[in-house]
Amino acid sequence: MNQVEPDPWQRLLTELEERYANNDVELDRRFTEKVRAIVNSPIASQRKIKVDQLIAFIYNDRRQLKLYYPHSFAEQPDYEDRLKDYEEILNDTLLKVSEKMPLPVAEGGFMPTGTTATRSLAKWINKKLRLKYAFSDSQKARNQREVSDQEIGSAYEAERQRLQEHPTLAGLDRLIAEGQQDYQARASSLSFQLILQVPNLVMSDSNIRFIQYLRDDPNNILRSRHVRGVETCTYHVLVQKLYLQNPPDTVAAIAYSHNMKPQKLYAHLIRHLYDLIAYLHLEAGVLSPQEVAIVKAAIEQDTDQRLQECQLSKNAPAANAQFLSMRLLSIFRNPPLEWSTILQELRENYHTNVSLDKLQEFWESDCYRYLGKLLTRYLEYNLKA
Amino acid sequence: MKTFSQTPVTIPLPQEAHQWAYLFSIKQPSVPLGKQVYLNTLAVYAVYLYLTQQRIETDLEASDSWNPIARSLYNAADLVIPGAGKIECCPVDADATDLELPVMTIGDRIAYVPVMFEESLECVSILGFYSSYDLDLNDPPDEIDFSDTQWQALDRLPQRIEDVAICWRFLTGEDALAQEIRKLAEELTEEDVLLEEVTLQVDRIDHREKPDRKRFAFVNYLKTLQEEEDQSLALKGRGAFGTEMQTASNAAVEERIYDVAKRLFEALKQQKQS
Repeated sequence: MNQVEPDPWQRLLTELEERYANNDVELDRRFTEKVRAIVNSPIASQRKIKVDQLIAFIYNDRRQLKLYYPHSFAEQPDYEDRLKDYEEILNDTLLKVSEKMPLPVAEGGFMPTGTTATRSLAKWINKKLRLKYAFSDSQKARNQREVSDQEIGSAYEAERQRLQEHPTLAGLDRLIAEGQQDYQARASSLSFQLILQVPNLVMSDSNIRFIQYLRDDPNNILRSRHVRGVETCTYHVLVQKLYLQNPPDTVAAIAYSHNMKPQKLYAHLIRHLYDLIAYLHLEAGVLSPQEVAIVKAAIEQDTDQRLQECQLSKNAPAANAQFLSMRLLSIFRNPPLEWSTILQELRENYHTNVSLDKLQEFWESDCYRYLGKLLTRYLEYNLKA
Repeated sequence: MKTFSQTPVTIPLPQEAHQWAYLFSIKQPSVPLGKQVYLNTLAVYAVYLYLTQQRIETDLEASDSWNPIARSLYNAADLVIPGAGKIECCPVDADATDLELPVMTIGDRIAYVPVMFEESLECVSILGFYSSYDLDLNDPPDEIDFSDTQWQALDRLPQRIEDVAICWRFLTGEDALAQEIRKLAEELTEEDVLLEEVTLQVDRIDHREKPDRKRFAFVNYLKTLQEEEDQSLALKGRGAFGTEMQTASNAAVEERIYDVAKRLFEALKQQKQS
């Protein structure tokens, strides 16, 4: 007797039914229905129609699902091209999604985890979208680079492709060296370059202005913060010693000079200072119009809901990083809303009573940090050749 | 490689893992750093795949290993487990005899997972894991020998994560005791309370200490937090609870702290049993 192959979609349906049947999320319910329809359609032609319907559900509800959007904007001259690129990348990705989704995880399949199946699905698809986008950028960069005659069609090029498809430890050096050569001419955000101490910074107008902003610290953001328990070690001192003087001090030297363990300072830099420096791009007003558009859209869309989930407290979900950003950042409102107006809005529209002190403290600690992380991520992901 | 007592689990790496690794590696300022980032990314991806297979939610993109700055500066190879903490995924050579502990991560990870690479990078072997509670935080080793008996089989990792998640859910929950502990920790640290850190410490004490010693260990941990804090905190009049604790003259306050600690571990025991 022939052994019947198990239906790969059944695995996914079982997961969804067992773990998400009672979670009362409308998108989860519809997603499960689509998968069930596929399982109930064993004939190939019918199944194809049902798979297409599942993909159409993802496509049509991409906003609600919070699928990644590459933040291309109408004011950009190449808006139409970018939109076309995006549609192409989205369609390619969804085609792959339909093939991969039912497979086991080891073969690239989808396994819902967490409390919401569709949120997990969106994360899974978003990773693919971001990757495809980043790769398309990287490919463009390569195509734009002047490729020498020797390289074109040579054994070298064939070897490079082989290494990319079947990488080996021994071949990594070469693969990476060549990739770095493609990449090196591409500028990344200044905070990234500063923090990484990239040699030979390109001193554009905005970079000079940002460095001046860090030196002056006009709003006392850097001077008013310090490493826990070490008041003399302000962020202004750290930025000065690490990035603005030549040669810079090492982290260990700074730590010892303030009687603390280097590990403590390292941990503090990672948890606080780097994100804050990234955030300061917004305060300093040095982002290009395109970057501003990227950041605005990233905050508005908040695809991973990280800003919305950064809340003052569980009892005050409305007082979150996204809500405050859209009222306090000058890229959204210039001048920003008054604190009293924000408190009033929270009270009247969201029945949320919070104190001004707590809200301000939350904005200047958690929200700055989350915005810094967002900036780092989006400005790097959206880097164009 | 020195005989590793646990059975490794082989994970085939999809093209997607290599594409991320490549993208991250080419942004590094040198080839050796690029190679390190490439292998870190694959190690993290392999553990991500394994945990996903085990239906454990992870968040690659919230991990430092996916953050361009941390990745470049600190050799980050972490994987975030929402509602629990971080796992450190450490690439090791096929002939490695120990796992070098990344200094920056000590006391800040649920577990360390060595991921072994051979010449072909099409698959990797996850060797097992080492719980961070087995590390002596006062004198952490530079490396953990593969012959160490504390290495655990990979199939126990989900349970290890669940143990920490139970702690996390309790400490971040609405229970009055949890709220009291959060308030206590907030008062002891001037800035944001790193609940992940408190969670790991509680989990650590819960695993390492005898039942009758747990509350003392917890209070000691709180005192350590207090000691790290600037003295000016007390002078500024903030952290009243901490100030009281520092003077330790008020027996009632001390009694209360011990009582909180005692109830914490009783509550955790109940949570784990249920």
